[in-house]
Amino acid sequence: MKLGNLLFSFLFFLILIFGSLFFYSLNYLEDGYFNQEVKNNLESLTNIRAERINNYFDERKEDLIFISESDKIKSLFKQNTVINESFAINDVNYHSKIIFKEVENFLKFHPKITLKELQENNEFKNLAVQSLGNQGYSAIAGNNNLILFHKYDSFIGKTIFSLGNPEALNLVNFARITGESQGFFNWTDPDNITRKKYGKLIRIPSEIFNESILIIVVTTYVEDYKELSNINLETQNYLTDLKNSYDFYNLNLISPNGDIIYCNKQIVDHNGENLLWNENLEDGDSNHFKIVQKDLKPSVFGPFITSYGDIYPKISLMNPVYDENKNLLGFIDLTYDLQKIWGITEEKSGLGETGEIYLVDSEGLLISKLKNNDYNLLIQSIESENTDRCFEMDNLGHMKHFPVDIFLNYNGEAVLGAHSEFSDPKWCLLAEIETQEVFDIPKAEKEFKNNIFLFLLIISLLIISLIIQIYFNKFIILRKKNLISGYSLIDNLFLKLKDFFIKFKLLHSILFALIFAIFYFFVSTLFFNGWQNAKFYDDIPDLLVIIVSFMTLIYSFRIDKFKPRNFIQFGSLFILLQRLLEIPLQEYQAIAGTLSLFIWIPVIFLGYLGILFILLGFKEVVK
Amino acid sequence: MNLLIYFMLNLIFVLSFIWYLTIIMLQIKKIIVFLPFFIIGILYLMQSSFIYYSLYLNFVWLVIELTFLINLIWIFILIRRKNA
Repeated sequence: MKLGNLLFSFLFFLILIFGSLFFYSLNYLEDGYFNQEVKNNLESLTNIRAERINNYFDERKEDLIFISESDKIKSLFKQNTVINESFAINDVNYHSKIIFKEVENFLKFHPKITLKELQENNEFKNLAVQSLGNQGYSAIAGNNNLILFHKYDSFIGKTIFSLGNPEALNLVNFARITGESQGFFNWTDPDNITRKKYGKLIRIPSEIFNESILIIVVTTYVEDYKELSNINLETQNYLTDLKNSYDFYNLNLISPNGDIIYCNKQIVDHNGENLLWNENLEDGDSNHFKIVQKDLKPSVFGPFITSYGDIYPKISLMNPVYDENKNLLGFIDLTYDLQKIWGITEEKSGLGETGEIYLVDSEGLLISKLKNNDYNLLIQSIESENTDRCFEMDNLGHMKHFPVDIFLNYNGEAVLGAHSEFSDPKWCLLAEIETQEVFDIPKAEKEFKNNIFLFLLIISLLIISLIIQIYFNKFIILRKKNLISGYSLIDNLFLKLKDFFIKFKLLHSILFALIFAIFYFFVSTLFFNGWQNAKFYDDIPDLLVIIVSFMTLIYSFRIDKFKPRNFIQFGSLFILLQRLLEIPLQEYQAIAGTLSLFIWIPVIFLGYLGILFILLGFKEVVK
Repeated sequence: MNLLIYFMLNLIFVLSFIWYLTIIMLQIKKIIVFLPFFIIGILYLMQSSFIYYSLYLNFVWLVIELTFLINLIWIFILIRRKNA
C-alpha cells in the first residue's frame, strides 16, 4: 500500500472518529443527555449487583447438587434411626416456657375472670391445649388433680388419680408444692396404649389466679424424636469437612416424610423433630420442605429466622436425594447466613452520598439493611412504586415501564430508582438515589464539565486541520530539508519543529517529556476531582506511555528515510494523543460513572492505529 | 449491544494486526525484532476478551498496561539501534 493511500484512508477514518466525538460532545452540552447517562449508570449498577447475587445463588445450588450426589450422604439416608430422649426434653423445656408465658399474660390481662369463664373461653382453650411433637400436647390441671383442659375431652373433669398413672400423679403433686416439676412417666391414652412420655409442669402463681390452683402440664411422647444411629468417626469428619469447605450455617438431612434425621448444629426446637408437625408449620424450613416435597427439584427459600438472637436471617437451599434406582431417599437442606448477600447490597461504590441498595422479599418485607438502620428486617413492609414495578416484571422485563424512573421512596422522598427481580427466590433488588443529589448539580460544575468537552473538541479540530494541511501539501515540505518561502505557515512551523527537535539528546527528551506529562496530569485532574483523588492506577501507566511515545516522537525527527520517519511520527503522535485523551475521560468517569462506549471506541482505536503506524515505520527501519 | 460492537471491532483489528505482523515477520525473516509488536498484539487480544469485566482497578489491568509500556520502550530502543 502506498503511503499516500494509507494516509488518505486513515484521514477518512480519523474524521469519522472525531466526528463522533464532536457529535457526543454536542449532546453532552444538553441536560437530557447528562440525565440519561446518570440513569444508564444506575440501571447498569442495579443489574450488576443483581447478577452478583444471582451468581451467589447459582454457586450455592451447584454446591448443593454436588453434595446431594455424594455416596456418603446417600448411605446416611439408608441408616437406621434411634429415639433420642434428650431432644424430647429440649422440646418440652422450650415450649413449656412459651406456653406458661402465654397463659400468664392472658390471666394478667383478664384479672377478674372466673374458672368457669376460663373453661368456656375458646381463646384460653387454644393457649392451654397446644400441640407438641407428633402426638404430644399441653394441658392444665386444677384443684385435687382435676383435669381442667385436655386434648381428649373424655379426660376433662376426671382426676389424674382416677386415670391410674402414679408417676404422672407424683409429678403433679410435686409441682403443686414446689411450683415446678419435670420427668419421664408412662401414660395410658383413651386407646389403652401405654407409652413413655416426658413432661414439665409449672404452677401459675396464686397472685395471678387465686380461685383455683392451675398447673400447666406440657408433655410429649419420647418415641416421636429420632435421629440417625451410630454415625462413625469417618462420616463425622466428612460432614465437618463439608461444613468447612462449603461454609454453610447448617446441614439437615430430612426423611421423605419430614423427619430431621441429622442436623449439623444443636438448634433448640429443631433437632430430631418433624417439619410437618403442627408446632413447626410456621417455620421457614417447614414451608420450604412443603414446596420441595411437592416439586422435587432444587429450590432456594427465605429469608427466615431460625432461632431467637440470630444476627443474620437465613436462607435455605433444599434438594431431593435419590438412590441408584431413582428411589427418593430424602432431602438435603443447607442453610446460609445472609451475610454475604448483605455484603453485596451494602457496597457504597457508585451510589453517591444518598444512594442505597436494598432487598425485599415476595411479600414486600425488607430483608436487607437500610442506610439509616431505622427499620426492622422481616417486619417492615416496603410499599413504593419502585417495588410494585419490580414485582410486575415477571417474565416481561421492563416492557410495562421505564427501567429507571423518579419515585417516592419508603420515606416519601423523591428518588431516582431502579430495580431488578430475582426468580428463585422471588426477591427484588431496589437501588435508589435522592434526585437532589443526581440532578441538581451546581450550575458552575455542570458548565465546567461541558467546557472540558469543548476543550477536547477544539484540540481535536486543530489536529485534524493540521493533518489535512500536511496531506494537501503532498509532503513537499517533508521532502525538502530547508525552509522554502511560499509555503503555508503550518508547513513552516512543522519544519521549525523538526530543526528544534533534531538537536535533542536522549536525556533532554526524557526531561522534556517528563515535565510535560507531570504538568498535563496536574492540569487535567484539576478540572475533576483534583490530583489527590485522581485514579492513579489508571493514570500512572498512561503518563508513562505518554513519556515514551513523546520520546519516540522527538527521536523520529532524526530518522533519515522519509517513509519510516512519517509512519513513526504519526504512530507515536496517535499513541500520545490517545493517552492524553484517556486521562480526562477516566477522571470524568470517576465522577459521572460509566461513559458511553461510543466515546471510548474512537479513543482506543486511535491507540491501535498508533501501534500499526509504528509497525509500518519499524518495518522500513529494519529492512 | 454496544459491548458487542466494541468487542467485534477490537477482535477484527487485533486479529488483522497479528496476521499482518506475521506476514512481515516471515517476509523480513527477523522474528525476534518484531517480538514486542507481537506481545502488544497478544495484550490487545487479552484486553478485548476482558471487556465484559470491569478491570479498571484490577491487578490484571495494571500488568497489561505495564507490559505494554515495557514493549513500547523496547521498540523505542530498537528504532534507535537500527537507525544508528
